[in-house]
Amino acid sequence: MKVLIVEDEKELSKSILTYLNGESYCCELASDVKTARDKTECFDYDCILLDISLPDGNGLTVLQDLKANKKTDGVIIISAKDSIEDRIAGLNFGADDYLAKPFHLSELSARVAAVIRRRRFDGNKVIVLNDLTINTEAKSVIVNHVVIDLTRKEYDLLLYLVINKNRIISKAAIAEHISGAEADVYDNFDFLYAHVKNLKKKMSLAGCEDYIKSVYGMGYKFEISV
Amino acid sequence: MKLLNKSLRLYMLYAFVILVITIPVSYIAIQSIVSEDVDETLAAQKNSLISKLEKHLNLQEEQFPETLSSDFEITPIQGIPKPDSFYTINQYDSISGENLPFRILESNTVIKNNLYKIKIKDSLIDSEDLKERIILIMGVLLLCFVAGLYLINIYISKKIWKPFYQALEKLKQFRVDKMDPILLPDSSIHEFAELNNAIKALTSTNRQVYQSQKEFTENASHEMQTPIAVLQSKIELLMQTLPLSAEQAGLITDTIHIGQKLSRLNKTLLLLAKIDNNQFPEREKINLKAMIEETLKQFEDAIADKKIEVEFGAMDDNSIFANKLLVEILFSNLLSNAVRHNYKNGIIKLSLEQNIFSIINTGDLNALDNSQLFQRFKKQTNNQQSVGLGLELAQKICELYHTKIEYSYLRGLHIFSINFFM
Repeated sequence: MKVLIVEDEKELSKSILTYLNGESYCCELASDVKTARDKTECFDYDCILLDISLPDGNGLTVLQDLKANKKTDGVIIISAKDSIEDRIAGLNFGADDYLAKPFHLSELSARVAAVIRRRRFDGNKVIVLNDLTINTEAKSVIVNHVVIDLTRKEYDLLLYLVINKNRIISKAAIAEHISGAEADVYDNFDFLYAHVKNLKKKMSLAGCEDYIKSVYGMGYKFEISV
Repeated sequence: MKLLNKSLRLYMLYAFVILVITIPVSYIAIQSIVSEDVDETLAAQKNSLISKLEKHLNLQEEQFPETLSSDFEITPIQGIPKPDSFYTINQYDSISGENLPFRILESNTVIKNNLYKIKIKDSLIDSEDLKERIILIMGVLLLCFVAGLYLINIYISKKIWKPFYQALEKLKQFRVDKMDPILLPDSSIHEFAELNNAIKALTSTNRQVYQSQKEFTENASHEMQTPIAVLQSKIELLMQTLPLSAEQAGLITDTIHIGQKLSRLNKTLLLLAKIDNNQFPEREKINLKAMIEETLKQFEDAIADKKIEVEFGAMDDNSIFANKLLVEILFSNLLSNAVRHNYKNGIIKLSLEQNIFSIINTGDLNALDNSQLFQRFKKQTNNQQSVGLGLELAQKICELYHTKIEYSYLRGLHIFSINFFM
């Protein structure tokens, strides 16, 4: 799966590249509008991460070109401008998602996966990992042909962990992802422990292997060897 | 006291003193002038009388009183002659039927070697009338003068001070964060023209300073977003490195928390700067009840975690016209505070009644300091997560919509309320 990262801050694009490469994505970099245009004209990408403020212009022009050329690359805008106008402008121009800086790489990875899933026309919206099957369209989880009844938060938690499989995700990132609130609302992340415990219990009852590991109280990790 | 009144008061005091002094003084002066005049007339009459008597009369004692006019009388006397004397008496006048003042000249005169006492009198009634009229006219004129002075002074003051009051009114309306320039009318009076120039210079400098400070805040927080994003991404990558010891994990966790706090702080500062810069002009109809319930959902985990009981008072179905994002932030901040500063098994009570939204929570058993509550970085808690900007942000949002947050404390309950539709 090809991902183009259009971002002028070298260190940030390097971080994104490192993280996403580990997810079996093939990433390319562009640090200005011109390079981004050249690349998008020659190749098709499954997902483009697009920064708005670039040294030689507005990243949105790349998006406009894509739409003008009827390209179907998925686009996620990553911008430091957390303003509603940028968000609305970006989505109006046909971006699939918008993520304000700073963001968690795990969150970015989840968004990329979601965009790619949505853009796939082969109906393959099912994630299969050994005995675990997640149908992202029906939002259902199946273990050994039995549907597990999960709450919405448990489902979100599992999907988030699965998409970032074999990575440690910080508790703050998980908390923000599943509650939608800023992580600093919480004095601690004890509530997360309750969700994880319930999820693990339901999965093990269905006979699923115990993939979810706690890592030194720092975060959680979905550990699986594929 | 108004400047106008102050100067008027002085003028009036002065006029009153002059009035009080002038009337008796002029009365006395006129009186003396009139008496002098009458006395001179009497003396002249005496002289002419004496010369007539010397010339024409062969005096016999008995002849005098009857033959002459009633205005004077001559009586022969003995002894040493006394000098002339003038005095005033009141005498019954048979014509007018009342006591009238008369001026008398009493003189001892030697006529043809005989000593006579001559008394000449003159009615003072005419001069009394004259005096009264003069005093009356003077009084009326003086009053007209004072009244005129008063009115002219008021008129001139109003007219002259007009530019001053205009400038004052403009200054009252001046807000350093509003862009409308201060427009002062030109004044032909040097002092006011100078004052206006000073005001113009002062306000425009203020604006520039404020503007550049605002821009600095916005630019600074904006520029900081990217390094913070880089920092967070690096920490996340660091987390993935192997092998990872428990010690490293602990340090990384702490760093994550600090990074999050930094990011939050920066976002809030940026947001404050943007509100100041009026970058949220879009407004839409927002159902407050739905918005509160929606926001509450974000906190359900935190609420459940602390076993906080959420109670609802009256929840009216009200809507306002405002920026959705800002109202969301407003409720989110207030709810976040109510959760964060609450204790285990505490209570949060929400109500939306007759345009007044209130959020009541249990918490610290001391009232918060109202004077510092909404100020930047004035933290009244030692909660590590708090950055001390939440309430300022909430207050700023309220100000944008011409309302404000009121805080009160009642027996362990902290109450924040906002009157929408003010």
